[in-house]
Amino acid sequence: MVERGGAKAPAAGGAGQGGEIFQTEASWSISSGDMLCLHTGDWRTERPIFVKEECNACGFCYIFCPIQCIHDDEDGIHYAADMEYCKGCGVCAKECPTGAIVMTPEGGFDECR
Amino acid sequence: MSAAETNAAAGAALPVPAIAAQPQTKVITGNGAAAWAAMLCRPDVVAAYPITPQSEVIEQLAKFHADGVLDCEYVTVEGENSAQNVICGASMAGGRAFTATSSYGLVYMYDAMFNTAGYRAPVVMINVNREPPGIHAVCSGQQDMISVRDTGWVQLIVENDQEIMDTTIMAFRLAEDHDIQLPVIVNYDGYYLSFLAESVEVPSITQVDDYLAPLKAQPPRPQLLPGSNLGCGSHGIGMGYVELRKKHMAAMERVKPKLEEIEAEFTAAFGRAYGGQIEKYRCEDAEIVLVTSGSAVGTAREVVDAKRAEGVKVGLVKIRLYRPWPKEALAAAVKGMKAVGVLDRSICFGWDCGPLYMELRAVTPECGVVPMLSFIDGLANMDITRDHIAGMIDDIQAAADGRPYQQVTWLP
Amino acid sequence: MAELRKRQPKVCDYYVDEDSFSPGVAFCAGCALELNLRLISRVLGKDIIFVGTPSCSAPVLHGQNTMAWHKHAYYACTMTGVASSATGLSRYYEKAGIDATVVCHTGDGCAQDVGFQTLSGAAERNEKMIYVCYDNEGYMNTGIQQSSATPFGASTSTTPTGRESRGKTTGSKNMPLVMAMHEIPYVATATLSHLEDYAKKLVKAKEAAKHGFAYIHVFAPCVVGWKIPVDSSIQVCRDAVKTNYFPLWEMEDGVYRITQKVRDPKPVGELTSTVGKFKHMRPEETAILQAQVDQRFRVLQALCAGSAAAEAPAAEAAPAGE
Repeated sequence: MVERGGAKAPAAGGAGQGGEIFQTEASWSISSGDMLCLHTGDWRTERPIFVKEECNACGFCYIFCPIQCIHDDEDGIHYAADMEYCKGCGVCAKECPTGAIVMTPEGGFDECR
Repeated sequence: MSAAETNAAAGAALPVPAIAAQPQTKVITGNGAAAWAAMLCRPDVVAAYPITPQSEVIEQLAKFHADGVLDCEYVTVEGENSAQNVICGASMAGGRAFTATSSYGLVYMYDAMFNTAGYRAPVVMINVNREPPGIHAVCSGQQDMISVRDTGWVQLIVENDQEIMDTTIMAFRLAEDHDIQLPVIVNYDGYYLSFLAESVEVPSITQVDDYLAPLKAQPPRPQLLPGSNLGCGSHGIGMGYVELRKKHMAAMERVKPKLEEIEAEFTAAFGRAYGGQIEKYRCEDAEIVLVTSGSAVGTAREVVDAKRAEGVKVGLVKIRLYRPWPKEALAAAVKGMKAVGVLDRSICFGWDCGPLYMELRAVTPECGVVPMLSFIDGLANMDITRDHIAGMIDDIQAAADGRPYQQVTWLP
Repeated sequence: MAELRKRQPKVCDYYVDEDSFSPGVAFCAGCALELNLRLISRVLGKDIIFVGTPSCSAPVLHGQNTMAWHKHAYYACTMTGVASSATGLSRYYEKAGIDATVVCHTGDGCAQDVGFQTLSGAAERNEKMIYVCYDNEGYMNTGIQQSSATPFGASTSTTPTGRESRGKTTGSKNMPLVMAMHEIPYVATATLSHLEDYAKKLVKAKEAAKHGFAYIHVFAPCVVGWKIPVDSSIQVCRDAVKTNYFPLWEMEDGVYRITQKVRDPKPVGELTSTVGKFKHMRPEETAILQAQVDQRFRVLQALCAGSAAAEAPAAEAAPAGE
């Protein structure tokens, strides 16, 4: 911890010196660079499987996903979820009007181990 | 800096309202002096909520605002808690902000005051001392000031209307100094000063602009602006929390030399001096000393003069800076005295004495153990009279002479 | 096989950007509040200033030391100080000529209880800001305690069912109407099942906030606190609208209108039977809740009818062509 003495101390709020967490005098966060991020994909116990034959490309899964992790599939028509972050909540499957999303237990998948 | 000053830095001239264009002598109340001082410092945002004996401060500011003398956002909030949050928000956005309160209003702001201090928002607040809730009293007393001691604010307390004017101006200079960045309260006794009309030297607004001008050259503080990717008030996690507390404490300590520095600048500009953290009156060859604060100091000066004329070697120490506690200056002032008395206008629950007395006792290791007497007087507008103070000096002398004395005395 | 045409849901027309939040944040799986924040971010854009407070959103809106979970400018307050702190920000921006949209984002506990005074004061002063209250009908972050938004009969950790108790004994405060009675430029109710409706209201609120106070009350279930399946929060929002438990309406400069007409409202039992916090309720208790829902809707209808009548004479008075 840097000690500051009387009037000759380095200006308050100056650049953090050796070991300081904050460059500021008060608790300011700065997110112009990296943001905090949790690997929420670790949370899930089941994942959405997108059954393209049943999909009508309505986009409901895309708009209702609470974490907004559903994005265009490679074919540009259908949708897929980002498995890094998908929490497996199942809202997409519930909201899908054609039953094109099926929540499937994680145990059957080899990746993310 | 205020928005007006930012614009001035960019080339626009600061407007000079006619009524503040020249230095002048005015007969105004303490509340009037506070309002004038605040207006002269060009706050961007003023939060206003009435409470006796402060209301005239915000009323005068409303009049200045309505007449175009004060170009600010004048926010008539629905309670003092909101007043505090308004000025903290305005300050964190980058503005200069001000409010005034007293007693019930001050304690109603309690949670918000921690916020302002922790965020290091350099706001200035007037507190007109009045007894807080618990025993209803629309009366003077310093218990309100004592009750917010540990919120992390700088606190000053003044003796007369001129000092209200001058200290409020200095408060903006102190709060916003880059080495400090702390909120400042200027306290003065309700009734005795708030409604007392005295002759006050009022600087011109240009003189005040010049006095505050050094702030413009200092590095800017963080400012919450749209698109800034900044978060004000993040969680302090682990050592992050500890670090910020340490920084706040260090800033508090820097207030002591900084106050002396900016007061010296004030004296150079305006010719008036107050001694910085404390003022010593007739202490040079004193053997006993009375320590007190606020309007009682004025009465005490006269009694000390009278006692001196009788041959009593008594001095007076006036506490101006309450937070941080001027422990070094006080230790030096009372060192070598045969006995010391402290006159409090409030009480310290848990220590069965006055609070300023309790804190002076804590300086004992530095100044040596001598008889120290606590006098509690002036609660709820019970006047601190010349006879009371004369009696206190007699008691302190008795202690110095080795005669029996009472450690804590409640007056009248 | 017929070529599949990709359709864009209408709410997408209102997105100005991706949301400014980190992809992995600590909201419960299936939480409607997460969708709420991401939607606001997408529709109102990255330059808004969020003002928040302890709540379920705080762990994500507040930074941690020097880092944050999103890129918006953000101001954290005590629960007692949200609308007042936002006032300070908003007033300074006004003074300094800085174009800014201040968006307060709190739960029902803050808006309706401990932060109500300051919200009411800011509304009375017509401060320039948007205030979004996400209503999950209780203090969820602290453990599902009741608030003045908790409905009659609901089981919470401070109104639990037991030998002597049947859940909350009083109804909730009609908060959107309370805010409308402040006669501010814009008040709306919204929910996460009707995203286009909500997005339109956000855009209207942003416009209103240039001149005064805009308030949006969002119905957002708590998966944990309400004891609903993790995938059901959007469905519960939809059921709340379908039963008139949470009608979607807006008030724009004194004119009330229902924005989502429900032709054949379902009995409130269709909502309460799917939500765990109500499942102990007997038919006579559900009937009390139904009566409250009906009464509240009648008041809303009267306000809408009154608004329509006030607008009609202007049309009738126009000369019939000649």
